[in-house]
Amino acid sequence: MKQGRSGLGYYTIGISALFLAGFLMLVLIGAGAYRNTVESQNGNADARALVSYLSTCVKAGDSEGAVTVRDSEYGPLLEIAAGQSGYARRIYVHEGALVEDFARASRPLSPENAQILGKTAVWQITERENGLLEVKTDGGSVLIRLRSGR
Amino acid sequence: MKKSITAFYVETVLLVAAFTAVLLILSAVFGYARAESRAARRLNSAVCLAENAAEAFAAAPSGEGLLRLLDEGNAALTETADGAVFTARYGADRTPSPTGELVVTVRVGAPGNESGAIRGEIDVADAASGETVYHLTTAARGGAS
Amino acid sequence: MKELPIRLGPLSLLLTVIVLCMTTLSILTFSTARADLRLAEIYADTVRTRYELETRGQDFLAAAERGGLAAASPLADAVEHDGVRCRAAFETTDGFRLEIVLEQAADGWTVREWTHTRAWEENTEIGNLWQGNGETGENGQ
Repeated sequence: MKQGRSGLGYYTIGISALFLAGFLMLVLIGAGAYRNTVESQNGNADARALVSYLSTCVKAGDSEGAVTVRDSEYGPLLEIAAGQSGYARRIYVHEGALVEDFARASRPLSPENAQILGKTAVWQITERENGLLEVKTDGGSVLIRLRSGR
Repeated sequence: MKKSITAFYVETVLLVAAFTAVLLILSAVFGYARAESRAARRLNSAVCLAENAAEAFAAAPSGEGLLRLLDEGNAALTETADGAVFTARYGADRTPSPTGELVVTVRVGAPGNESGAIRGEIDVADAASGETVYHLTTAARGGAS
Repeated sequence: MKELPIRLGPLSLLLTVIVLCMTTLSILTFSTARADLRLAEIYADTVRTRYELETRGQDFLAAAERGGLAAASPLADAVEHDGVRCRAAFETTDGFRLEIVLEQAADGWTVREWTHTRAWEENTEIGNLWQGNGETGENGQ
C-alpha cells in the first residue's frame, strides 16, 4: 500500500517537474525573444533617427550654399539654411547626444534649448568628392550628395 | 479508490496534453516574432546601404567612381556587355566586410533612353540565399563634374 | 477512501497563470516585431519613392541639356521658366515632391536647388472636444 502511494507520488512529482521545466524553458525563450525584439526595434529606430533623418533634412534643404559644415565649440556643425529667411537648422553633438535647433543662423548655439535626436558618441562629417558628404554616427555612416551648385 | 486513481491519471494526462499544446503554440509565436524582427533589421540595413550606394552613384556615376568611394576591401567591379557591375559586401550592422551577409550590387547603365541620364540599378541581396531584400532605381547626370 | 498524495488543483492554477502571462508576452513580442517590420517597410517605400523622383529629375536635367526646355518640359509635372531660371516640380500621388531650380549657364544648366519634400497637412480635427468658446461664454461675458 505504501509502495503504491509512493509510486503515485513519484509519478505526480515527475509530472510537476516536467511541467515546471517546460514552462521555465518557455519563459526563458519568451523573455529572450522579447528582449531581442525590443533591442532590434531600438537599433532600427536609432538608425532611422540618426541616419535617415539627417539625409531627409539635407535633401529638404539642398539649395545652393544652404548646406554648410563648419566647426563650432561643440564640434562639427551641420547647418541647413531655411531659404532666405535668415533662419537655419543646426545639428551638432552635445554631451553624447545629437541635437538640433532651428534658430537665426547668427545666434549662438544653445544646446539646452535644442531637441535631442538620439544618442551618439561618434559625430564626424567628411566632405568627399563632388559634393558628397559622409556623416558618421553611432547609427552608421550615411552618404549625402549635394546636388545644388553644380 | 481505483476509480479516483484512474481519474487522477486521466486528469494528469489531459493536463500534459493541454500544456504541451500551449508550449508548442507559444514557442511558434515567439519564433515567428523573432523572424519578423530579423527581417525588419535586415530590411532597415538594406535600405540604408542602398541609399548610400545611390548617393555615391550620384557623385560618381561609374563603376570606377563607386569603387573609389565605397571600396574598403569589400568591393569588386566587373564589366559586362550591359555596363559596369559594382558589388560590395556588408555585415548586418552595415559595416564593410568581405564575408558580410548583405551584398550590394550596382548596375551602371549606359546613358540610354532619350534623356541621357545614367541609370543605376541597385540591389541589396542576402549573400547566402541570393534573395533580393531591396531594390532601388536611380539616375545621375552623365559625366557629373 | 484513501486520499491522493497530491492535489492537482493548485498546480493547475499555477500553470494557468503562467500560461496567461506567457500568452500576453508572446502577443506583445509579436506585435512589437510586426510594428518594427512595418516601420522598416514604410522607410523602404519612402526611399524608393524619393529615388523615383530623383530619376525623373535627372532625366529632366539631362533632356534639358541635350534638347533644351522644350524637350524636357513633358517630363515634369510643372515647369516655370522666366528666361534665366527654370523651376520644375515632380510629384507623386502620396505627396512626395521634388522641386528643382535650374539656371542657364554657358555650357548647360546649373542646379540652384534640388529639394525633396513631402506635403504635410495639419490635422485640425480634435474630435468631439469642447473648443472652449460656447454660446453661454460669449453672452455671459
